[in-house]
Amino acid sequence: MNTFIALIKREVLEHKSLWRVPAVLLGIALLVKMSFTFGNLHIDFDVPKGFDLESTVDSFLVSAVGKALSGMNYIIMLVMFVVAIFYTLSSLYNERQDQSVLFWRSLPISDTQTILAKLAIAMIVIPVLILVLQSVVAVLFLGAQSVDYLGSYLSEATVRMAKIMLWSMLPTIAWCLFCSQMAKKNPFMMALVIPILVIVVDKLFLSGVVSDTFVINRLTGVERYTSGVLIIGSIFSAVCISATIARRGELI
Amino acid sequence: MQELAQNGSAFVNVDNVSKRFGSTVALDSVSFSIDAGEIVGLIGPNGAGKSTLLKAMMGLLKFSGDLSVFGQNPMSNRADLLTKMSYIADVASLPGWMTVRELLNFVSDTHPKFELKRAIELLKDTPIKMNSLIESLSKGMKTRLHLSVILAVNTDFLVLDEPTLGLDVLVRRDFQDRLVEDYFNQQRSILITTHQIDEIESILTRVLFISDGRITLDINKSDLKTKYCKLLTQGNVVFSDPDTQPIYQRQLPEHTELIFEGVDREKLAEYGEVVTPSLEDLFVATNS
Repeated sequence: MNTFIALIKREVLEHKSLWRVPAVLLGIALLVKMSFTFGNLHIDFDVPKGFDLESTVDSFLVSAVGKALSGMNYIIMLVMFVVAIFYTLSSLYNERQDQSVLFWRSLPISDTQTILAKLAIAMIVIPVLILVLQSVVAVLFLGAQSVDYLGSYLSEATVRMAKIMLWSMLPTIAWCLFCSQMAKKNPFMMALVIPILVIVVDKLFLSGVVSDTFVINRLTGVERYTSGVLIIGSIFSAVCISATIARRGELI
Repeated sequence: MQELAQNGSAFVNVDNVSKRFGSTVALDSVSFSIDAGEIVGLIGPNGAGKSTLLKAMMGLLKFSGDLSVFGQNPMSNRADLLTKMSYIADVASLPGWMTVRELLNFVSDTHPKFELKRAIELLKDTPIKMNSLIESLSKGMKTRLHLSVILAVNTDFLVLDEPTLGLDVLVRRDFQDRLVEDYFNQQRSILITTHQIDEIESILTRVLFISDGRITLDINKSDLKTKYCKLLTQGNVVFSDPDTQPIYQRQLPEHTELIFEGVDREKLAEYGEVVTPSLEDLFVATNS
């Protein structure tokens, strides 16, 4: 357990975007807050269906503030997902590039522990951070009203977050870790080009079922999440992560 | 087949280990063992099989034959094995983005045998500060830091892979002194690989030459003097006695060098000066 906490601490120290980006997001929230305290706020930003505030929550908020809040919530989530993807893409690649993998692997830490710690950052630390950030922004925007709002928002948002993490993010993150370990030159290109090729080939020559199940369904919204998609995604993730662990084990 | 070795007392026991990569033979029936109280130099040119042998010892590749480290099969549990032996793959491998303090804390949290106090003590008289970023240190200081971390790990077997490659002579000498003064004792052993023989010659107690995947010489440094000698002579000397034939001969501008194996030094003294050959001499003599 000590080792696992140390590994998580190491990731946070190494990948500074994990705390710098949240700091910037809070700064932006502060600016928005100031603009509707001192200035003239016109929110012209529509969030996708499923991410806007529940009408019960909405009713007691001034509509401009409510709109600003759901906008911020959505931006925080998207930006932090991008952070998670770039974090996993770079983590295993960087330690190979700067040779530090040789040092890490000279310590009595199994490759499984190391890679699960990286997975935990993307799958647990980042979603928790998203909810914490959203809560801080709510307090900032709503003051005393935020107690009522958060009570209803967090229960709804946690379930939605868990769904997104399991259906969409788990296979994405597992794939990024795999590319980060395998790519010779550019893990980002590898992670992007292969799924695009799969979609193109599938749509042109096959029925499109493969790309729908593997890629499209995961990106187009919570309503389309079925248990079949979850099972296929989990198997795919397990294969990616095992391959990543095995591959790291081949390095001296 | 890999089985646990019967010899439980040796730190490392390598018995008839071979490894092929396709048609290339990387290791060809290699056998040796390392006991407590030895500083063994595994010496050979690039591509001789040093890294393959180390990888086999670290459980990183499959091979044929028997190999055990502390009586254990290294393939079965790398992480567990690394609590008993320390290992430096490359001194340029410390993570540059960490500070010295973060590094020490991390090793302290993850290595059950690491003594933080000892590491701090080893670093006390160096210019390395706790708040220094590792990438801001010079190459020599990085090496010193890496070695200090490893020396503060309380294990009895230390493996160093080309540890002083690319370091200047002062850092190299300091590295060797630290190994002997701060780590080595009769309960411990060190295995060092290198292709630059003269670099580590002075601290070794035993030498293993490896060439084309074979051990070509395995000798204690103390036996070197009695078994081998080098004759420095003028001109061309021909020995009629079939028992007194040089294994290697080299023409130099000022004299001729001849290396003999198992020949009485007094027999040769009449032809010129008789000295003990350097490891480099021996390496060339036994591999040509």
